[in-house]
Amino acid sequence: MRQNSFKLENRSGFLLDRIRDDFLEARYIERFEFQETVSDPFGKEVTFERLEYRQTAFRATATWPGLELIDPSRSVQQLLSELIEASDFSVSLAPLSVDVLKWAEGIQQTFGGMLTISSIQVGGLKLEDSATAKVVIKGDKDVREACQKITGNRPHILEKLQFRIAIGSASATVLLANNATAKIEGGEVEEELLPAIRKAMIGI
Amino acid sequence: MAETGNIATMAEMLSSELFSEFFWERTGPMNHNWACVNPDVHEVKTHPSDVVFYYDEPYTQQRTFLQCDLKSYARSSIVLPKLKGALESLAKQVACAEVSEEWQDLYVHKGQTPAIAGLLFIYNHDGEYDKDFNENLRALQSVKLDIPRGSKIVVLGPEDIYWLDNVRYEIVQMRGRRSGSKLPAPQHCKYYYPQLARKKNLQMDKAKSATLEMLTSKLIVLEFVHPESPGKRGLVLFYRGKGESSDEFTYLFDYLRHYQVFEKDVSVEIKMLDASAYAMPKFRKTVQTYIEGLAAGAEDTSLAQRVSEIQFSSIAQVRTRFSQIEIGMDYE
Repeated sequence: MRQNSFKLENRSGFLLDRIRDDFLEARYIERFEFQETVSDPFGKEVTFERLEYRQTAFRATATWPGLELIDPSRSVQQLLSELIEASDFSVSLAPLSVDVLKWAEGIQQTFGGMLTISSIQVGGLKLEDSATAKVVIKGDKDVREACQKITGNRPHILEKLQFRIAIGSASATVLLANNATAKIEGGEVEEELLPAIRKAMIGI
Repeated sequence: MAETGNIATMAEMLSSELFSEFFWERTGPMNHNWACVNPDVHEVKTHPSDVVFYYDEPYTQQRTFLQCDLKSYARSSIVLPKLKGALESLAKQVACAEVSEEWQDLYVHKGQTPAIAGLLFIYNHDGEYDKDFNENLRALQSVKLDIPRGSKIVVLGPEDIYWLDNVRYEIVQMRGRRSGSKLPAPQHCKYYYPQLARKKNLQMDKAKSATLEMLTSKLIVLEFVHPESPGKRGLVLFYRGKGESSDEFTYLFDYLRHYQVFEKDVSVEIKMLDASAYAMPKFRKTVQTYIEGLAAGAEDTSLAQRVSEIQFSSIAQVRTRFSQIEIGMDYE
């Protein structure tokens, strides 16, 4: 990564933020230069240069799960290619698929008490041989039981769930998805939530 | 920028006199220059480490390492651009320390989870601390510093140092007293971190030091046990307020009550620096009204007894001169 560090004249590269024995935190930066053309009301075109930097922060650990992307952009293909290249093609990357319910229960264990899951999204819920449904269950109370009633013994996929967690006087809304993404709304408790989310992920 | 012998002397005195009383330890070499890992962006070949302190965090299993930049200046010589330059330079040092193998090899202890932070220590050597310093600092709030997400930089200005130095001096004085409230030797003292709802004190026995957060807050709480009778303990609250209103004392009493400190065999003493002339009468009045406000007939309860036993006193003001020599803050 140091060999491919980002410099202002480069189109892309890495910036190392933090290195420890068991993990590193860094950013992958891409520079985009392009021309934007705007037409005025009289049809005259004005072209101007634009410059954008796209940053994706990540955390790489020596142990599973290995790579965590923080606030990633829609396309991370370039970053992944560069990461594989930086490791001299000695790593392989594969998307994760997790059980969101177990993940949430793991987070609950860290903080104790009951976790109220306010929303669950179920996909691929088999109604008949050729018919499936996508269902979003929402409620003021915990919706796990309602979800169980709807799904019964039918094959289904738990795609996403959302819960609100209170840590002391602060609270946050957490959205977990089965592709191992977690979205936290409520920055105040992020510092305490993130280690719990990581720990629960390892414990699944 | 090469380090000078002046900074070395100041660092020695600081580490032995000021921060050692807050149980900070020094690690690695002082006044050492180490290679910058991002010279193209930082536009320097090396970064200096005046001194690196460390302490254990009570609420996480981490050890904080403080990359310190020590500055000494005369009252009139601090100006905004110099302060900005010092902050930006320290930010670069911290950013580099986070990824520098050399720095981590020199200063970080193996087997510990390090948290690296920056400390800008701005000492006013002519004894006339600059009251406009905080205004300067506020003006720098919008400065974008290049530090990694989650890293922190703390600035201790002349007023903060004056406060901490007086707390240190008072602790030393209390330890040497022959009568009255006397503090035991340092091994029987630690700074007080209660179990919080959001944060658990994970290292109750190990993390004795005052953290940066405590030193920059309005309250420094020192806890001690009497070596001759271990069942007895005491708390000294160094409160950085004026004591001009009863609310301040009510807050302190609530703090003590919230963390269940009002117990038998626990002595409590509140100390203030530069307290208002009315602080003592306000304190006395608050003790009376606090007890009356607890409940009807509360005057006879053991809680009322504990509140009335709280001691209050002012800290005698002192001003320590660490160095007579001005240390430049130029970054050209």
